[in-house]
Amino acid sequence: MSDQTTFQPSSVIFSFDDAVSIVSALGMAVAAINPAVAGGVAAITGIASLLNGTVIPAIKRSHDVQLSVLEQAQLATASAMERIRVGAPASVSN
Amino acid sequence: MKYKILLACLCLQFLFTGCKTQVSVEPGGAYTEASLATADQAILDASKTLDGFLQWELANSAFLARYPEVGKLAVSVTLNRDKWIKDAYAARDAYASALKSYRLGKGQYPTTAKIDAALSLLINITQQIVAYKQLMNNQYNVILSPNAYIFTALSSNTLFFKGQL
Repeated sequence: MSDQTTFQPSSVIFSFDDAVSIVSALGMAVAAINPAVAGGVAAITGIASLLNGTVIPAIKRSHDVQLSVLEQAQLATASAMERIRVGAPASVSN
Repeated sequence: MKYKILLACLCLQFLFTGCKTQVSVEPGGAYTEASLATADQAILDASKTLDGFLQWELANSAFLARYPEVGKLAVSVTLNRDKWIKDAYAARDAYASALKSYRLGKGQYPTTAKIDAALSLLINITQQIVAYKQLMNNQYNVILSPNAYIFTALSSNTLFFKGQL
């Protein structure tokens, strides 16, 4: 019984929706770079979402998005910090 | 149940045809290529996921001791996560440089094999993490309340997972 009390669902760092979003973002990255695999990635992401009852949010995410100047700045800053953390060289081109 | 299966089939068909999100960047920002912004976001998200997984595994280590495959993945993530992220940035930068040259009329359109491989690895790990977390929450629910698990499994997965995570 002690195992039950040591499991802490509330300590999970990110929600499941976030996890699906992350898989979607990764899929989108591959799709954006290589349109040839877009269908395959969307299918993989979609299946993962469907199996977990989150297919509707996944479809909603299929709307087109435009990153604002501010969002781009935040992303570039966060990426620069992450590069420093892992010891990667600074970005040469965006 | 019949309707659920039908709905699932319809959704699968829709998904296999591809629900592609088009990302663009507002002119004047830090990025000129949307694909690079998306890649950067994906790498950051993957890094957060890996970090979150390690914290989750640590917080639940007593319960997870009976599932050595989770511990094995955690060890692998601990040892390799910075290298995976660094490799992803290296592949992203190689692609970015080649793309820049191509835009300047120098060279051919860049190949995507390396960045595909780097991002695919991150997708693979992320999917493993998501799968383990679902499995562990299922196991936890079975131990804690078998009736509750059966009820939620038969009713709504969405409610079940949102309730657990």
